[in-house]
Amino acid sequence: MYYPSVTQATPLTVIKRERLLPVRGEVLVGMGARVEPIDVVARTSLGGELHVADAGKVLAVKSGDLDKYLLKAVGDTVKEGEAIAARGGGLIPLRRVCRSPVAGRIVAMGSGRVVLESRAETFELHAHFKGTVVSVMPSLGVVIETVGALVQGIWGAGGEAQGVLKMLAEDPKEKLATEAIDVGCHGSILVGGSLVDEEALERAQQMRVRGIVVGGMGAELRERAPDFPCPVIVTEGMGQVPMASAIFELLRSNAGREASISGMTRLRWGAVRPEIIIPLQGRGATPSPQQLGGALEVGAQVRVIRQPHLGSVGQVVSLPFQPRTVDSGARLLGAEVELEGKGRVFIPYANLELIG
Amino acid sequence: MANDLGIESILAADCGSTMTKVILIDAIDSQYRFVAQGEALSTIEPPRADVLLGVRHAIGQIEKATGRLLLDEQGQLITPEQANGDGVDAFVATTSAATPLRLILAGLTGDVSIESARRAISSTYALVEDTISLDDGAQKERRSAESRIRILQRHQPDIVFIVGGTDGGATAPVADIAEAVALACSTMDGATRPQIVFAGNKEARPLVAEILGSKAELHIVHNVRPALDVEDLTAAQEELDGLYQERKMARIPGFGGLSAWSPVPVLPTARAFGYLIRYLARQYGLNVVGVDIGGATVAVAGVVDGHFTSVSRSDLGPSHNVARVSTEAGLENILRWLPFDMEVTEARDIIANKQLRPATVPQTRRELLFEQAIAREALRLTLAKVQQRWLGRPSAPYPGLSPFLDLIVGGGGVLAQAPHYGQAALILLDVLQPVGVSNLALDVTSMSVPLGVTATIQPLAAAQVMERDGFLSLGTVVAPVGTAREGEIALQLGITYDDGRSLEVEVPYGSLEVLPLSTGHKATLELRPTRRFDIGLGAKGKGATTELEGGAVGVIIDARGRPLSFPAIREDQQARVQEWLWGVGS
Repeated sequence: MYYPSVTQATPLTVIKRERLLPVRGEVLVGMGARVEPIDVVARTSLGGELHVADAGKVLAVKSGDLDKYLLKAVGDTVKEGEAIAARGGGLIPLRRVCRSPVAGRIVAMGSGRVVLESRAETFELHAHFKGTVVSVMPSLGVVIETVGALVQGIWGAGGEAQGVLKMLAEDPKEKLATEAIDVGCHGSILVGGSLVDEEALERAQQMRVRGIVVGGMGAELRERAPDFPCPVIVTEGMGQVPMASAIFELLRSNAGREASISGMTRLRWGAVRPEIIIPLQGRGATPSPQQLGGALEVGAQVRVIRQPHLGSVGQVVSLPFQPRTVDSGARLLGAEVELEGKGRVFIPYANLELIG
Repeated sequence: MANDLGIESILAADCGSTMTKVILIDAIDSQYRFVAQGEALSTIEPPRADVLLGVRHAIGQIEKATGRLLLDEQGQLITPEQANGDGVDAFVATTSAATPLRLILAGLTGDVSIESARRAISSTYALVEDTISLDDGAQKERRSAESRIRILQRHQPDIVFIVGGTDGGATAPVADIAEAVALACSTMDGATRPQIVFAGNKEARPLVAEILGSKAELHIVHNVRPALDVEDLTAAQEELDGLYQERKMARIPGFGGLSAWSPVPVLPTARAFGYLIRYLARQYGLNVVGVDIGGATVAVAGVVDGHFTSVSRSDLGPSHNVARVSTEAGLENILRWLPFDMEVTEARDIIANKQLRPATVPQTRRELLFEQAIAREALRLTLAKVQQRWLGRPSAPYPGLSPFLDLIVGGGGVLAQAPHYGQAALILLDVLQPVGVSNLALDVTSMSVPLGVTATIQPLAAAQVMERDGFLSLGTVVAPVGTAREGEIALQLGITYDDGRSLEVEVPYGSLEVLPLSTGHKATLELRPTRRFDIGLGAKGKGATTELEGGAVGVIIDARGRPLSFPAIREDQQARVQEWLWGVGS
């Protein structure tokens, strides 16, 4: 029995996502609320930068003696240049004053120093996709549920966005052509085939597209991920890799619909995969229960996740009991898979995943 | 029955970042034997997010192979062993799947104790995120107070590890560090506040407790540098190990269930590996080095002249951390191990895809050799940390070279799953570059770690399984130390096989040759190095005769020189690497 990893590429399913604040704050919606992607569901304030005022040195007092000269306490807010400690005045001619270097709040004191946090910024948490609030976690966030299509990528970058899905490739093997990205792409999430390059990303920025979904991308572009103009999701891997047919067709069948995409990716320790959510609530369809996650069986739809067949999709036709020798010379256990357009191919278990 | 604890059958699991492996040990005719092994993808991450699932999947394979029921209908372990043979008497486990401890190291600029602290940290699963040090001069100090606080806020470490000063030395500098850390801790809430480990000047302990005791959880242990010429890492290492178990391992999804199955604590994988290497060294009186190239972590443990050393690099496993290996080693250093051209773009794509899908295996020879090249560099970087500690030992007479090792044990996926044993041997030789005469062994069934933890509950079982079913012998390597012109004779040898056949060989400098001596056969080897070469007897030109047992590769004569060097031109490099691969039959 082999229990492979799983990628979701589901035309209709129940999608639930936790929407959590980075730090505790205020939840603004209640149970059962229907939300649109841009609705703010929770809010908090994020701490600013820390600054240190060396009050003991400025006042020329020992750290243990500073307390009696303090004008402010931990938790107090101060303006830039406001006095936070002072010594002298009256009969003492030389008055020494320690002033706050920033506008903000005093967060700690000790060793003759005062630590200030510059003014906090407000962080607003959006719903991200159209759905219903099905759980509220006070101060933390909410769980939103919808019914719709769901596609997981393997790598992404660039945060969250919403827009209309627009196909820019006729075939999963096609590259995302720069010249195809025109003014008509403004506000859209573009779906390409096998590759996006730097030039296409720049054009996407000029045309203010909302997101890009593509089979592959040159690994060297990953280093530039923080500069990407919009979320980019890679479905297969790095290099030029045709998008898996199951994913390409699913996206094509939803072209013209509103989608929410998240490029957020964490590979380990609470892995998070990039994803495309296409809410289809109210369209009368009922999702079938999810069966993915079990052992690999004959008949299962699988995707190959390593070269030389990376991205190919097929159906398991047999699970040989004995290991077989692959081109590397290794003898490995695996499955015989009927790959689309390639016929029956033996693939090691480790290089297969369930998709559906 | 040689069993005083009533434990006859044991399941031992090792839950790695990528794979979970379980072995079944049972008493057969009053002797403990390895019975079967199961392997499954680890299930730490969502959507499965339960370490026990992967263990159950691996146990399921053992059930299928043996026909023995080990789990009940609810998926719980059947224990103790039943009259019908189902179940087992005990279950033990190790794991390396937790996030490493993230540390900030705090100490005095330029102090030797910082280096000692780094060595203490390197034996456990920990990453040093940054260092806070005291600068001299009031201006610099004031400026750095802010930066020190920002460092702590930015990294939000698990631990701040404070060292500094020899015992009896001045306490003021240590107090300064403690004050800086205390102030930083005051700005953090309870959830993000780090724990503090103090391993500095013992005279400063009361002062440090006074400054930090109310700000954070404080752990005080022996000074890592009690005197300038004395290093004492044991207490600090044990404390860090304990914190790793408590703060990291315990947070693995499903760890509670795993832990509940085992009557003894679940151990960090590297520690269990260390136990086994120490056992081998003590039992047979050998210099032993073991390397374990895991998906996320590379561990090296060794005993040289009775001194144990271990290093774990949680950031260099050639699957999960392949990109880090590439960055730290440099892509050129990886590509030099290939017998063919590979464009940088292709290499980067393979690296990125391996990181995205770390459990996949190479299907082509091209990708296989590339992964083996990455493993070489990951091991080289890890080994560099250990080699410093062997300097000055009697068995390490050549500075910068390996000590004389009796046994080298290699383990981990990339070695155990190498399609040809010669490839595994070559990886070990290329990186460890042993000198003199050493035996090479491969942990082909990934038993070293499970046996290491088994020893904590039933040492006899670990010892007997190791003796009978343990490592696969790859053979013996003879590596003369010395220099000569390429092609000059470095060593003459005569080998006499157990069937009476004999062979005389002249080994030219720069070559790598294998003499056949298969498993189960013996031979007598007479070694006659030329006057500029030492074969590990401490004198150049001194020969010896030794009895050998065969192995999966044979007798490897590695006269490539130490340290190993590469031709300057890429084409020549590739040709040389190809010769080496052919040399070991791959």
